[in-house]
Amino acid sequence: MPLLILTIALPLAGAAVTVLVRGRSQPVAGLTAGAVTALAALALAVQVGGAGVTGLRAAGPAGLQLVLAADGLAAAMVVMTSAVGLFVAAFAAAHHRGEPGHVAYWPLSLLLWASLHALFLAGDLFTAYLMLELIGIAGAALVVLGGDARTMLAGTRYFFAEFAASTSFLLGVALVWREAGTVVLADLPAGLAATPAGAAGLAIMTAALLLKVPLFPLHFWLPAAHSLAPATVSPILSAVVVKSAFAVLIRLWFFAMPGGTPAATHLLGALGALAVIWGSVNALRVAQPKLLLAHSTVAQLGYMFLMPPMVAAGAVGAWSGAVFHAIAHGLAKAAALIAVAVLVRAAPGDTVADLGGTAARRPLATFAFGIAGLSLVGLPPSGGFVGKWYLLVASFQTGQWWWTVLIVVGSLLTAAYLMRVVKQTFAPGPVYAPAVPMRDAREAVALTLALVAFALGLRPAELVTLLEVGLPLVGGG
Amino acid sequence: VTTLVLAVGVTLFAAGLGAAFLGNRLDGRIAGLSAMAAGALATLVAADPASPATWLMAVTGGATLVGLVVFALSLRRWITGESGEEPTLDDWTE
Repeated sequence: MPLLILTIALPLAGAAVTVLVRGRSQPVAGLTAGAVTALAALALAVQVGGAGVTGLRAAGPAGLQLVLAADGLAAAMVVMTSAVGLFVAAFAAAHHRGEPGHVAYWPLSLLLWASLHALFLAGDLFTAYLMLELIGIAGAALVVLGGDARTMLAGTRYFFAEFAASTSFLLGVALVWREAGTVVLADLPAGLAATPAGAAGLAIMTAALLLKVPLFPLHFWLPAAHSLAPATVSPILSAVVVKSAFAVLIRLWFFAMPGGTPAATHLLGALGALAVIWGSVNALRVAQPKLLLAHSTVAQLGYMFLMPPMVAAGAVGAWSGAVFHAIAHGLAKAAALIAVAVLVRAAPGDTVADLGGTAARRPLATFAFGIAGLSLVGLPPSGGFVGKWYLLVASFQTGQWWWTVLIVVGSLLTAAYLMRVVKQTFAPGPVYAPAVPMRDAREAVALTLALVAFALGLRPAELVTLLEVGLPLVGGG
Repeated sequence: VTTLVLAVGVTLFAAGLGAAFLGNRLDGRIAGLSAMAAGALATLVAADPASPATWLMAVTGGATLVGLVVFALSLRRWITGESGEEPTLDDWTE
């Protein structure tokens, strides 16, 4: 079986198995499925890195063309999804030992995992639409699992946004189908964006994907949904799910209508800049560390949208920078959220102020948060630094210096809001008898993932080279 | 007829979008989202009704959209609970 099918089939099989088993067998089955999926994802990346783009094109029933293709972008996103998925699965297995999870957690999270892989590998718009729907429904169901009324409301708002975005995306697919007679990305005619129906379809799909990412000011659903979701769900949502629509969006923009219009690219850049400032300022203000990290996600997503105006001006490095940033952020944010989940459980409450003394009780989790924070800020030589560095270089190359100012200011703000958490963990706090075990596998999971996020910056060349496979901007693949 | 279906589809979608984002009640929002889905499907069918691929996409897309509506109704039932009371607009603000 081809590797790109395996990366979808394995988590799907895992989801089916975890429906059938119960009790302690569920996390064992989920972890096993996660581990073999991660191995298949890694093998796919090695294959794409060595042999170039690999794909499958099938004429489905009624002559509908369905395409799966693994280029550098898809392979890198699949590996990131698998890495985050595997670490979160390990965290969930340990977390549910002390606090039994919902019986639907493992099937839903593995279904989400398979849908994410299928979306990253989708080479046609209709498969992408179906996967966006599955991701929306599985993601929202995970948010509301066993939640209270507030969580239910937040999950419903999230689901309604996903529903509206998926339906809008389908309308866009319909208009493109009407104009082009195909939904295969590689077969879309070059002049599609110049026709009224084609332009309308692409614009509607773009708007739908911006709501799904979400980009400021369409982020209204994210902070509540991500912060109120269970501790074993938030890392997947913040690290990977928000990147899924971004991956489809940049495929649409740079593969189907290369470059877009200059005005539209600058609008995306401006909205990205506003996201960085808005998200960071809110992260400085809020009381709960999970909500702080959710606003941080809004801000960090903004950096990815600085790329279109710079690529439109000829700086191809901005592409690598934005995607590298997306991957580095995914790993670091998942590590930070796992660390925060451990710290909050060791505290008397769920606010930043309640974290006093947790550094002494949970030193590894505090260290993990700090290491992940270095990458989120973008300090060298972390993974986060490399993404921002590519964006900085591109801003100089294109003469768009204002992005440099924004990246520097955004990084300082990131350091400021993350320091709120780190500083408070070292503040004096209540003294407990050792009511919680000092050795906790979840801390090790958080620290290992944080170190992976950091180490990504030590050998960036492999990932940057992989990202260029099949990229039309550089004539690769 | 195709043009008429296309016009109806786009209009239904636009009206549903308005209801989904401006509505104050869960029922209204779900109705709006359902109208958006119906509008998008009508537009898809009108795009190329002679092609079997169009109908395959419409049937598959329609089935998944029905799934979304069912899930939305389940969420509504969980939120309103036994009391049947709906959250107000204030509860929907961040």
